[in-house]
Amino acid sequence: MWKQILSKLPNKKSSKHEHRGREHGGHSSSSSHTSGASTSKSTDNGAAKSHAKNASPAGKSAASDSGFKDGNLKSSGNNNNNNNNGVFTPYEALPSFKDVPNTEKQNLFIKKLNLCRVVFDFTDPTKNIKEKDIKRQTLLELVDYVNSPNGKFSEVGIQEVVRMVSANIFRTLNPQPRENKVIDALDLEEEEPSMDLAWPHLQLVYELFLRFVASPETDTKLAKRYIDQSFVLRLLDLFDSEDPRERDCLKTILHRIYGKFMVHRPFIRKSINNIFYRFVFETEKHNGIAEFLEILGSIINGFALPLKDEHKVFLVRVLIPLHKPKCLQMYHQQLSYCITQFVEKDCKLADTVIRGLLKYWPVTNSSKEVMFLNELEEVLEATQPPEFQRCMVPLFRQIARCLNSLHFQVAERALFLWNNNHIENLIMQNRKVILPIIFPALERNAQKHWNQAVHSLTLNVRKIFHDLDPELFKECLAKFKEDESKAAETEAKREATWKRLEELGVRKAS
Amino acid sequence: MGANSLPTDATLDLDEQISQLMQCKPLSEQQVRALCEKAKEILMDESNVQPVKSPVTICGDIHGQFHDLAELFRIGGKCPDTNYLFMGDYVDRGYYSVETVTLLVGLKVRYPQRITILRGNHESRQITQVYGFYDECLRKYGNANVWKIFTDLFDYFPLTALVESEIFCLHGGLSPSIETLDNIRNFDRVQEVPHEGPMCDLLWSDPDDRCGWGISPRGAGYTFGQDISEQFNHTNNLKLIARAHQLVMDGFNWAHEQKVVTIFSAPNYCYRCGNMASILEVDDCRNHTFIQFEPAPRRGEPDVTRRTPDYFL
Repeated sequence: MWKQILSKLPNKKSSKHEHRGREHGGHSSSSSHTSGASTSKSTDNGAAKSHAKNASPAGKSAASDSGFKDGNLKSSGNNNNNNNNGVFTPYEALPSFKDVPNTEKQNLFIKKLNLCRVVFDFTDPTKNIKEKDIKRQTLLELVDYVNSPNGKFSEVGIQEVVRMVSANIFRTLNPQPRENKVIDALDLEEEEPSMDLAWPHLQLVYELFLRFVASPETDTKLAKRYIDQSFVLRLLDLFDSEDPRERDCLKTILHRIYGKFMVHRPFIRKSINNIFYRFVFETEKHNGIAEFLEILGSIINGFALPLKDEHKVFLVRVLIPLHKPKCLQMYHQQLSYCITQFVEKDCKLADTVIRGLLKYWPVTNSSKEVMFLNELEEVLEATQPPEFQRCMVPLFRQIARCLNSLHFQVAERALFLWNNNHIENLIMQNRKVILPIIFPALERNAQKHWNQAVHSLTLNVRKIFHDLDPELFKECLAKFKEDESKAAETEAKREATWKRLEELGVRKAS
Repeated sequence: MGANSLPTDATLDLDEQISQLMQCKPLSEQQVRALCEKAKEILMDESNVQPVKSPVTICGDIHGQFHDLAELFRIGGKCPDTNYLFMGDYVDRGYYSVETVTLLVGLKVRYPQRITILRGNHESRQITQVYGFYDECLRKYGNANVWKIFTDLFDYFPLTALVESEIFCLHGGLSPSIETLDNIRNFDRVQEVPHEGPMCDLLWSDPDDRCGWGISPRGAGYTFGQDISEQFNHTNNLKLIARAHQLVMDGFNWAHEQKVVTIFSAPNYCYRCGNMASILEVDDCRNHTFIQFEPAPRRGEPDVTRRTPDYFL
């Protein structure tokens, strides 16, 4: 069990250390060496490496985590190895902040952070009840402390916050068996998310970190040394967590980091894009797509005009292909928001977006098709006549197919487009092009659609056209009838030919 | 083509199709169309309360779990060695609705007197578009034609059956607008399952511990108490109402002091509920035996038994 409570790798270290740690087996065992080493990394990187190399295999060389004794990590050096179960310092509560003089508070803050670096095993609720409670109380005090103005955080303070947070949140997520993917698509709403048992601590750690990132007392210039690209990457990895509560915290935190650390913005965007690419083109499995998109929605909202090419590329290369995965339902609302943000910012993009939707239009997934129609309505709502005219022919060929769908929800949703005034106007202004395309679909529905609602909605739409332009309507009807009788003729000819062939065959055989 | 005996060629074709289906391989659209034509001829002559003789084996929901249906035939005996009465819900939820319903319809056409297939609430256009059969047809055939052929055929499925004049079999349960079996015999069933009324109730209702009629949490049909079942059985000289429609963990479940029994034949429902399945054998002396069975080993389907959501129970 004590193996579980080792502190983990801090963010600031070379990947070599981590690699070496893994080579020696327990990935957590290397962490305490390197965490000691990492503090001296800036001054003597080479020495740090040799610490790790020498100490790791021994595993039990150190007596205790001196971090607990004096809170001064610089002095802890290579001794802070708490890998050895037997000699672990008792886990005891520290005095509260109000019981120490102001001069001591900074020190106490560090000590408390160190105390919270110990991670407990929550799979067994009967284990370490006392220690878990001490940590919880300490975390609560820390949240309070970070939240109350105490002057700027010192560099050591910042470093220790990031270390503590890293030790707690960066862990291997327990993925569900991948077979679930198929079931997810089948009945998503029935899938219950798995909750992280360690949440009582995790929640407070996230809370503390959020307040820390948001605090005006946190100096971005100092903090970016610790909240660096590798930290951001590991934070992004956590978005795959099964626990929606955790993803929600991550979302808020990442949003804050994006807002505050200007220097990281392009990196964050690029990294999220990479996660999206992997999701769309490789795995189709990620739990945090909706959260990422929610953040991006607000980022897009803040884009300056005219839009940079980078952002337009993002729309075409990332957002539009995100319509492809089967599990679209998990993040469609957020995706649709991002897409409409783009079109509202720059209405010239409407044509691109609509063609993109047409490209990924679902063929064998009806509930997805309904989602596409929902999104289409929102996009059309922001579409102006020039862009509309540019894509209306392929668009209404698709809409005609939807109108004619035997699936009542698909047909119904397509017919609802006429309830939207703006869209109805666009259609009516261009009826000379549109009506001939969709007329056969309307007519077939009116003749026979099994669903009553679809039938009567179709009659309404037909009436709209008929009332507005009876001449055009008549033309289309004539054309439809002509085509119908032509088709019947062709069919009759074909059957006659087959019949003749069959007769010939029989005659030859006999 | 004679109505009573099929020409030999057709029979041979059908036997071949049935053995193809037994391997979980779907028929072509044309084959489905021809099969359903024949099935329609047979089904349209059946009664709303189709009489059935013993011995017969009565089965509940299958829901596209093809491999469990195959297991059911291994355990209960092949059709036509054993006579079968299925009480609906062949499609939706499972992965093989197409193969499952095609096989049952194929058997019906091949052995019309030896197998009875009733209509369940899922044998409906609207429900199959929400719960999977429609999309499965799109995936397997590239268009909705097969869905249309089958849902058009479902309109002809009989609603209830009566075994030896004493076991009344149906998918859901009783209806406040039906007092006698003759009430049922008298309406026109060839239509989409309506949202309300007697035909809807037969396919949607559930027995309940509370007396009298209750509002069903399903939004269609009613709940009915023991008093209702006793009255109905008394009026119609029945010993038992056998029905399906509800997941029961043991595969069968007595209610209303053995006036009503629920039979469910989809083990580990939705590949996750962890329930047993069962079938009810009624022998020539009208003795009842329940046979329980577990999911068949399978390939290509997920193994995802997890906690059962409460609302399945």
